[in-house]
Amino acid sequence: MFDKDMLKSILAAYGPSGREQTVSDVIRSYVEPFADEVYNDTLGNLIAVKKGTSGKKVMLSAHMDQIGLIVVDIDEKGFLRVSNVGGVNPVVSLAREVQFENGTHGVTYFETEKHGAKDATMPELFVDIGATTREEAEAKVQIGDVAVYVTNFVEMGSRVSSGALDDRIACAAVVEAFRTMQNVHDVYAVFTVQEEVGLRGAGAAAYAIEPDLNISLDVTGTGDTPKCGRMSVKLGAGATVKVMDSSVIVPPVVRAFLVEAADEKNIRWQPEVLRAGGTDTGAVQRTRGGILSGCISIPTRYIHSPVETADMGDYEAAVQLVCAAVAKQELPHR
Amino acid sequence: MDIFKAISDLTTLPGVTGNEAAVSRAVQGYFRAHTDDVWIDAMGNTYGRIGNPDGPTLLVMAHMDEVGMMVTDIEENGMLRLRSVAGVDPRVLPGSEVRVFGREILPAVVGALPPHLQNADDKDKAYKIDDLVCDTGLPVERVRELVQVGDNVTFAPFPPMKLKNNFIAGKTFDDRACIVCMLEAMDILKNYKLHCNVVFCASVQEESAGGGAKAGGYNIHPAMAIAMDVCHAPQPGAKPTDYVEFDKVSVCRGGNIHPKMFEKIKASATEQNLPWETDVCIAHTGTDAWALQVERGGIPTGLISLPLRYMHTSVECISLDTLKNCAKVIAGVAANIGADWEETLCLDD
Repeated sequence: MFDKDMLKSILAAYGPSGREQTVSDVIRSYVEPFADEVYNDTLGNLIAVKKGTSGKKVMLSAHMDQIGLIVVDIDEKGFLRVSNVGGVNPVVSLAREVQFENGTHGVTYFETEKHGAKDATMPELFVDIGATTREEAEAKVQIGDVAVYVTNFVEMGSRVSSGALDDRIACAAVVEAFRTMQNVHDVYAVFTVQEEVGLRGAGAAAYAIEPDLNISLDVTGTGDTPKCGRMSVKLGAGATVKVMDSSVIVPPVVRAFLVEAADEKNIRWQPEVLRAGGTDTGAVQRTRGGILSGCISIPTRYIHSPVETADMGDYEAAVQLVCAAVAKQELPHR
Repeated sequence: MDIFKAISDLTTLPGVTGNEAAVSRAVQGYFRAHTDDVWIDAMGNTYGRIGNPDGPTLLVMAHMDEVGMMVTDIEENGMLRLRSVAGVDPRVLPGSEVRVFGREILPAVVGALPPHLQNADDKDKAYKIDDLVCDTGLPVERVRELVQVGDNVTFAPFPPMKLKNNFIAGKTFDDRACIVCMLEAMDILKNYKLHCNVVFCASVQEESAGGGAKAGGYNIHPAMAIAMDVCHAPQPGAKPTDYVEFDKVSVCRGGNIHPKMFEKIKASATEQNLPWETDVCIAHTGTDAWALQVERGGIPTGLISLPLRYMHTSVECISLDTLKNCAKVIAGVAANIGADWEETLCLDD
């Protein structure tokens, strides 16, 4: 059974790309009791180390940043104009409750003069924080502040829905694994920054750590909702072992390693080919002279919306698969 | 060296971007004919070293990956759905013979709805990847036993076809024809006492910008580098600025090419009276040269290309005579590197 309170508090923590300190502190509080060492690097990546005996290093990476809306202008009536931080769909961002780092709440809407909601663009979007003048607004929010969706944690049987499952659910999975794993290798659990704006944090962490193997954990899309794009991944069919996404083609030796780890422990897994979207996996692979890098994903519907939905059975499979992988004596090699 | 045999050997092996192990093994075998110093790195880049280990290092790189496809879904009727890996044009796929690299290697074809059954509106439109299916002929239960999402699919590995005029046509000349150029250059250089150290690298993941060249540049940290790739030859519809003549070695010049590396390559071609042509590329060359140039503290990098028609199809077309000339140019650059190599790379005031 998973630690629901931990998952909820990691999901709820504020942390859009580039502003990850709050979520970093929350995650740190959960890993610190189990780590030999915990630190933040220059970019803000949170790194928890648990020593092993083999002399080899395995990096686990999950990004703790989330998408958001950054304030670019405040008008004389106190409305905020925003731009996207990461892959934000303007239509999905309409009529939402949002929240800033300092606790200021607001709601989003759009200019209705020209067309309906379905054609709304990011420049037509605005945030109403209840202010009536620029001065009133500026007392609460500055240009450059970032808002995130306020979302609910919805339980639907074995499935849960929330904003920021991408990628906090994987952060929680790494914490769960970190607590219980019997690792033979030094494990560096890296909670990375700035994934949503171009896989920025993970490569820098990998450069410093120089791991023998990286396993990224992220969410992946599914092909199991009405009239969606074609994809083989399904909710509830297990954690995925990534084959390819737009950032990476996982080396066959790494895939075989993860599949073997899963099969040895009868952990449910499914192969994943993600058509659009990249992950830290690729950024780590391209670091220094090349690093063997793979990815375990948690299938998730409605990614980059406030109602991202996943199955906790897949989550638990991902935790078990990480534990199985770091307990294997022999790491993959060319 | 039997160039046609080497091209046949290397182009008939599967090596879709990110999954180059089979072709790497073959390249290692070919490298070993010239040197015992053969190795691979964490990315899968495959190296063979010759020359003076104490001299400045010239890294020569050609990529061994090929554009291909991947299984994304298995349908209830046993048909496979595909995605392109790194640049197969779906418009050339209908009617193709392919191989599916599952638990077994399965022969298959790529099919689409024939015009007889299409709407009038669709008849003039090119097929998109989602319109295409890959058909092994097997029932779905058997397909599910043998094939998994993520398995690679390649064009059928037929040996190259000899056309007239010493032209050949086939799959994956991009860029394994240039691997053969490197092998031929190694063969030429066995008669030379080199001042420099030459590392030949068959790189991975060029077609996806996956970082093969970047890792190769980082790992070797050479004094200078030359990437070898294919470029476009004259073909119907191509503008003169898009191509280099079939019988000429393409020597790239542009913002991302080191001027002195251009000079070295040009000098080698000129000294040997080999036909060559300047190929101006003002920005990204779409080759390994791009990543090599900015690796470590910067690597003086040049680019030699072999003109080719019908890129990324199963009937890529090259001239064997030009291929041999490319090899001579590479060998000449290596042979010309002397004790003054550092000065010869200095930019003019």
